[in-house]
This record gives sequence, C-alpha cells and structure tokens, in this order.
Amino acid sequence: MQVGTSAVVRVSGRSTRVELRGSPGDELTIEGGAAVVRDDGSIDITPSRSTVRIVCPEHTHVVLSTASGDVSVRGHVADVKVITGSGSVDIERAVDADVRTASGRVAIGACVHTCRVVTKSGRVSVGTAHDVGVSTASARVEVGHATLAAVQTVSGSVTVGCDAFARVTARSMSGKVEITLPEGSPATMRLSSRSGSIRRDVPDGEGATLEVQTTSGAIRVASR
Amino acid sequence: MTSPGADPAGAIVFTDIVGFTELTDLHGDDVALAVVDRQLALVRRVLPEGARIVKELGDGVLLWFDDPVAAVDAALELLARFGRESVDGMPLWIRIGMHWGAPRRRGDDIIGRDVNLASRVAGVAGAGEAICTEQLISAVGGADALPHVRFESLGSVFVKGFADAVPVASVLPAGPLPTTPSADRNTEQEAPCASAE
Repeated sequence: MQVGTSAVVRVSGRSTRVELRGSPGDELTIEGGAAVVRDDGSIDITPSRSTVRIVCPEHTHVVLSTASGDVSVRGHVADVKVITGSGSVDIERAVDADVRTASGRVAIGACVHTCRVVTKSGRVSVGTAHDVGVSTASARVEVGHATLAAVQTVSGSVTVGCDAFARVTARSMSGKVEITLPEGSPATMRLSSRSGSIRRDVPDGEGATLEVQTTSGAIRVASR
Repeated sequence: MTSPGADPAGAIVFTDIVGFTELTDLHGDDVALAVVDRQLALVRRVLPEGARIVKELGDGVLLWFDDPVAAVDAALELLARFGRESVDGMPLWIRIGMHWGAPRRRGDDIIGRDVNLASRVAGVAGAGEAICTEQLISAVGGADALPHVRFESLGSVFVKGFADAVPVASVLPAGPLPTTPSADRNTEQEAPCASAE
C-alpha cells in the first residue's frame, strides 16, 4: 500500500521479531502481519507470524512494541520509538530514536538529532548522534561520538567519545566513566567523585564542557 | 467518571528511587535510610490538597490524587526538586509512574488492577522521568489541555500481568509550573538538604 508523508506505523507483538527497513519511495509492504489504517492516517500492524518484515518509506515515524521479540530497523527512518521487555534492539540509522528496554541489548548506529535510551541492564552502544541521553541501572554504555550527551548509570560503565566543543554530563554511582576528546582539545571540566579515582589527561581550557559525578566509580578524561 | 456506588476515580502515582539496591550495597543502611527519609520529606512538601500518601513501599511511595492535573503538576515538581537534591554527596534519582483509575479501597489502602498498572508504568521510566497512561492524559482533558505540560507518546508497553500492550507517554514540562497550594509553597523556603553524615 502507499502511505502519506510522515506516516506513523505502529507494530505491536508480544514475542514477535520485528524487522523493518526504511526505503526510498512511498510503498509500505508487510510480510507476516496485517495492517489497519486508522482515522488519523496512522497504520497499526498486527503480526501473524513469529517474524514480521516491513518495508516502509524513509520518512515514516515508527513505533514498535514487543515483550520479548527482537527489533531490527535497517535503512533510514524519520524517527523510531521502541519499547521492549527483553528483546534486543538494533537500529541502523534514524533522525530521532527513543528506545526503552528492561534487559535487551541496544545498538544504534547513527541518529541525526536525538537519541534516548532507557534500560535496566544489557549493553547500550550508540555510534554517532548529535544529542544522546542514556539512563540505565547496570548496562554498559558506549557512545562513539556525540556533541551533547547526558548519561546516568547506577553501576554500568560509561564510555563517551565527544567532539572538541561537546557538552557532556555523566553521573554514575559505582560505574566508571571515561570520556575521550580529539587529540590536543582542551576542556572545561567539573569532575567529582566521592571515593573513585579521577584522572584527566587533557588540558584545561575553552572547548568541550564536561561535568562528571560519581559516587565510587573512577573518572578518566583522555585524548584519543 | 465514576459509576454510582463505585470507588472514586483518581490519579495513582508511584515514585521509586533508582538504584536503591546498589546504593544500599555501596553505602550501607544508614545512608539508604537517609535517602528514603529525604524522598518522603520532599513528597510531603509538594502534595496539594486532595492528595495523600497511601503508603511507603521500601524505596518508593504510593500516592493518591483526587485531581489529575494536580498529580501531573506534583510529579513535575518532584522531579525538579529531586534533580537538585543529594544526600551525602549522592544524587537522588527517582522515576514516577502515573495512571488514572478507580481502584478499590481497603481502609486507607488502594488495591486493584489500576494500582498494579501504575506500578508497572513506573518501571518504564528512566531516572528523573515521569511516565503516564492514556487514561491520565484523558483525565486532564487531553494531550494539549495543559499549556505547561507536554505529553510525548512513547508507544505501547507490554507489562507483566497485562494481556494487552499499554499506551504510555512521557510527561515533560513545557513551561513554568503554575502555583498551586501545597505544604511548602504557602509557607517556608526549602530547608537545607538532609545528610546521612
């Protein structure tokens, strides 16, 4: 079927694996599920098999819900929202992403604008995003490159690679926090830890703004 | 909103301290107790008329509001205040789950599906975040009814014990909170932070 500009596509399946691909054009194709078009033009897809495969236009807004089913989003979509219990989430590229899991692994390749992840455990990796926000209990968080980043963990470790003028806020209880800057880049740093070690290997000065606070987790700021 | 003879509808709100188990393990029971006490003190300060603490739940609190708008305002006020708080150098992170329903009364307690749902919804929230159900949004008059609040749909969540996925939204401030009567807005300036030292 053809879908309008900025269509909203919702998929909800308890244990269904969702495989979605953003593709040029206006065609929406579904394999393994049935679609219902709502009055507001949004499309609800109910899976009928263990895996539902969807190809949608690149400008689609995608909302995916599973309890245990894995979620894979390839290609490019406008924005994607995922809520899952234990399913893993793999998103190649989106304008915005909001992902919530209890225990599933989260991997996001690139977000043009904002990337939000809330998880209890597992592992969170974000390749590139303009603005990253992660809140987790014990998940290990890795952000490859960000301009704005705000990360909160209880015990999970945090690694953030940022650009020379980034603003990074990281707060952790026992998880260690490591932030890396381009070689030679200075930063304004407010680093504090109740009992963890603090090591800074970048010069003070105008550039990036880093605010890191831990209870017992070690803090390290380094060049890359 | 309530059928004759039924228990009255209201906003059911759960607060929960994020990382409480780890905090207790790292810093001991005295610090944990100070954190719980601080949470309770802050909650008491923002409760308006028509709201009450139903019960304490270890590291969380179950609240009841007659008015859904008051519940939303209180949740945002709580998040703002907790964001500025620390106990003995440790941040206070809470998450909040909200739902509108008509649970059964058992003395001062409230029980039933709606209470369970509010509790499950809290589990979807991250630190410093409030999440609510569609029912609460309807109760305040819709997603665009409150100029100072933005409800951002997150999709639906499958929660334990419920057959169908539940639509939820993040509750975000869209402007300054209105001034409403509450315990300390009428009275004093905020007291210094409690400490476990």
